[in-house]
Amino acid sequence: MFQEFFTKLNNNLYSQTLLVLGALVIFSFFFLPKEKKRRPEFFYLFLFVVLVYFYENFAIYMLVDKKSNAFFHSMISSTPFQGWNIWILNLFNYQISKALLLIYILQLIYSPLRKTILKGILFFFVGFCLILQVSGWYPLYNFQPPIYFFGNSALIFGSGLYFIDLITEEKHLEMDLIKNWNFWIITLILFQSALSFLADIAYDYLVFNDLDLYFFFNYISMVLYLLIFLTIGLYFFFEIRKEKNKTVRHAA
Amino acid sequence: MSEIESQYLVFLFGGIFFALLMTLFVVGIVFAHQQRQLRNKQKLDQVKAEYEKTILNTEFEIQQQTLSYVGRELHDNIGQLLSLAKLYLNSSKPEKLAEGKEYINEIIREVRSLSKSLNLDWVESISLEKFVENELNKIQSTGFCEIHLEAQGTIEDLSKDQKLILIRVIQECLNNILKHAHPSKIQVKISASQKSIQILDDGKGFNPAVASKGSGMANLKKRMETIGGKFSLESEVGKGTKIELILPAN
Repeated sequence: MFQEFFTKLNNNLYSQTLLVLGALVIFSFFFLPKEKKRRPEFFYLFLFVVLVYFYENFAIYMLVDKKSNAFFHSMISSTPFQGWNIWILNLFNYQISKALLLIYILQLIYSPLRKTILKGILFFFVGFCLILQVSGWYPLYNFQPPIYFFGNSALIFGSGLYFIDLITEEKHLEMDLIKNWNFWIITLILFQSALSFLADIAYDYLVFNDLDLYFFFNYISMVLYLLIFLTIGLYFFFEIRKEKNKTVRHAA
Repeated sequence: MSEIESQYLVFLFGGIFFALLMTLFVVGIVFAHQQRQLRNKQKLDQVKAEYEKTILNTEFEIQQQTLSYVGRELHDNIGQLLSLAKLYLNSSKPEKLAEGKEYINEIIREVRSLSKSLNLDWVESISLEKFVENELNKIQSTGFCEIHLEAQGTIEDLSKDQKLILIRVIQECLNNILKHAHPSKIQVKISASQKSIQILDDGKGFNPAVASKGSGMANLKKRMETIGGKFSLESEVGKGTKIELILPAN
């Protein structure tokens, strides 16, 4: 089974890169000083990386371990098992990771009004996902276009609120944007969400009329995901280095 | 063109277009942010320049006030003492000569004390409570009205500039009372815990809603705001005036 899992991994460059990059980011988090680990911006980014790392590998594993997949399927549905792993992406990628990124953006915003708006969107998104799934309108084991649409829209809107906050709030004035890692991470989140949004709403048309463009959207979206991972990794790495330099200076 | 080639071209041009779009977005945001930083810096420079101007004006006004006080002292006090000293020293009687010398010593003491008030170093050494007490004593010595000072604690954590402005504002408030209110009693309450100074009089009062011709009150308010404090005024015709100065929290 594990042989099959690694064979599947070997055939997928995105998953391989994610496996290595994700491990490095998770590993580097543990080298951050205690007070930084507790800071929400670092902690939520770490949670996000762990979550993506987990579900991407778990999704591949579920394609190999059909028995376990069937067991999980029987827990969420009474319909016959067809071997899909879409429920993993639906739950972890389209719902939990989007909510986590919204929380990450939320704690970077200073304006109370924008914070309230984003909190409202977050609660509405969670409620929306629960209602659609519990009512059975869009079950977890099938495609959930309204949730994809809402998740991506919420992230695009949340990123927009962050950028408005960035150029209007006085507390952001001291900051050097080019050197601010959160700015780059949210820029990548915005573009990744915008591409996913376009790919999802034009899915029917693209699959039948322009498959190249559909793949383009998906590949670029994957590249952006890897870039988000890389940026988070660099953020952690430079913070560790900054702390080390400080310690060396103190010792000198 | 093969299918793979066409797919490659879509990826290539799409990727370039997307990268350009992202670059444009980032440049736009960074530009907007830098513009705001620049505007904010200009605003800060303006506020700083205004603050320095206010300090300079205040110093000038205090010096003017001090000079007029020194002039009055020279004319009314030292001038009189010098005349007396001259009179006694011209006398041939030894006891008069001794008294004349005493007058000269007193003149030296008075001149020393006056010279100290000519530069603004006294602002740093004097406490706010002591300054208010001195000002009220000056008013009482003229016999203009009754005064009362109530000080709870000592206000200490003020910078020289903040103290300078506060001293000038208090002076101006007391001058205004003497000039316009004609009170029978002036009361000053200083509270270190609440960081406030209240100046109350039982004079003729006025209607604060009616705009005054001068810019005195607005100026005092602006000066208090310059040092991060607050100025508030309550008054009613026939019922006196209450001014409250909230000191800046350092």
